[in-house]
Amino acid sequence: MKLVIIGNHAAGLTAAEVLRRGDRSCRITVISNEDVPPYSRCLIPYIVSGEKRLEDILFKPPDFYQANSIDAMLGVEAVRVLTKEKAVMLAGGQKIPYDALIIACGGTPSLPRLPGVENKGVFCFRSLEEAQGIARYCDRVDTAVVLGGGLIGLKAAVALNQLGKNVKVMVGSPNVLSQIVAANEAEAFEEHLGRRGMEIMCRTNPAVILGQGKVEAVETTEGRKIPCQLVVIGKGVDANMGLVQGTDIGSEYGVLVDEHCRTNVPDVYAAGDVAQSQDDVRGQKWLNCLWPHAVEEGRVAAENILGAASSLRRRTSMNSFVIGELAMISCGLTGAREGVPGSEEISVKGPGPQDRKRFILKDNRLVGFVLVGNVAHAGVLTSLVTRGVDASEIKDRLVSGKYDFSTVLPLVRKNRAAFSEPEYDEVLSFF
Amino acid sequence: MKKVYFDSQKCLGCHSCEFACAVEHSASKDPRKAHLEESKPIARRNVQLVEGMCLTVACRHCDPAPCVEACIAGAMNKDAQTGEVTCDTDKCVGCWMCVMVCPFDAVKPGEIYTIKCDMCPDRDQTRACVQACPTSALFEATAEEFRRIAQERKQRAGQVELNK
Repeated sequence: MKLVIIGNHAAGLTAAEVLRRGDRSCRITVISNEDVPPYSRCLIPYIVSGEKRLEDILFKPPDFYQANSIDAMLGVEAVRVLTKEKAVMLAGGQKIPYDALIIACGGTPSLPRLPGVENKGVFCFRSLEEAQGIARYCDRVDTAVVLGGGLIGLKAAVALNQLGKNVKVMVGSPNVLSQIVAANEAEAFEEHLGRRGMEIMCRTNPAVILGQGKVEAVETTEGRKIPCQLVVIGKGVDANMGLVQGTDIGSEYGVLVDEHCRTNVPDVYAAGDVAQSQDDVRGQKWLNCLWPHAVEEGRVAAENILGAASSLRRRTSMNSFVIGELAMISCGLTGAREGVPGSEEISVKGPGPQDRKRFILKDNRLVGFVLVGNVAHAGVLTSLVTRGVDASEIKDRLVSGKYDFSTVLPLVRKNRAAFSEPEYDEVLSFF
Repeated sequence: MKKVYFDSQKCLGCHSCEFACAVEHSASKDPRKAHLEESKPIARRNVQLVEGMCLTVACRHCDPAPCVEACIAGAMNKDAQTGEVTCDTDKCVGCWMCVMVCPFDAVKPGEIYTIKCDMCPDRDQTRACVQACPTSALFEATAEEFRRIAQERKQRAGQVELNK
């Protein structure tokens, strides 16, 4: 069997590993436009801050391809999936035939249509190459402007701040992290970053990047000029859909997949940031670009190719991050713009000065939560959000902040169909 | 692989497992000295009360393990041979993705890195929690042995019901 994977990150390499473990003899080809060792994208801020070197941010061994007998076609651009011929066409016109294909080609940072983005010193922040580029460029930088107050923007800001740069973050929304949290939690981060010397400029949009070949300033739509030598753009990521455009592979914001990571075309699977899969809280297919989801999709796609009918776990948006030592975990419908009709929101401050909790309940079900500061025990809350069971009887415990596995155990016992993993059996067998 | 299983009907809630676990993960491994150490030893196991019964929870070494799939640093690993899920604390960056996805609340955010059951790597024989349990509520078994024991228990419970 000839198996082809497009993409060499979380989803692609997980799929390759699972395929090799399950089938010693199949031929596995990994195609990627990035000729790099298996590094973790999420760790590139450490390359900018200088805290880690490339060999420290690998999530698979450097000899991964040889050790798993994988044909690595790196630095090669796949341009189209030829579903009739069952082949992938490369930029040079060469065709790579497949018996089964996993599309795991990720996304590309969206570049705002901004005059002056072509200036030297303007970077996106998604790849190792970009992170290394920023690190190299930083010698001549005194002030950096970060465009975008999302997770990527803030991570870039903190890394540059650690290098001793003067950092200004320009955010179009009223608050940072507006897609993930509400004003209440965002303010905790704004204060926190402010204390570390970063300037957060909300409701501010760039109009033009000024410079004659090299960045000299960013001018806002209100005409304010902010002198800087470096601009980092963190304005979101678009799924790489070029491969499937004009083919019969179904897509919307990403390549549409079912719970087995199958597309609508036989033997074509998708996984990772390019895949749009069911969000069990939203009740529709959603582009959740998350590391845990990408790895799971890579595994499930591979297992299904190997003949096991495994499925994705129930899932929704979720994230965990530490920005400048302030931790946050969010899950479900938590964004400032999410506004769930008919929902009840409970916000709790304390006990620590930065601790904040918010629970979003609808029809007695927990549909989202945010923890800032103390994030312990978050996993049991995540399990409630993804399973969508009636949580009314434990609402008081949630609000009090005193919850652990024993809090959800009665709900697990009542809803065994929703908590079907064998590990729950192990815990409950003698009850 | 032998995992640590738990018989809630034998558990007295004495916290011996918790204490033994903390001592095992201290620098001295001596119960008289462990609590005086500069960084307090932390138990990987917790005794909790639920519905009038006691429960002691630690990592289930799930298969597939959500914490391993969630780890952005390649620190959390499931051993292909033994099935043990362990955290390479040199690689862990403390992002708490594993904390977010562990349904058993068995992965804790530590000061710097993740704290979880590591199956007592310094011990050749019985795990510390199992050895410390005075009522044998905690026991080691293979998945097969566990299924048999649980099945027998269910049958016995059924007979008790019938005799009533």
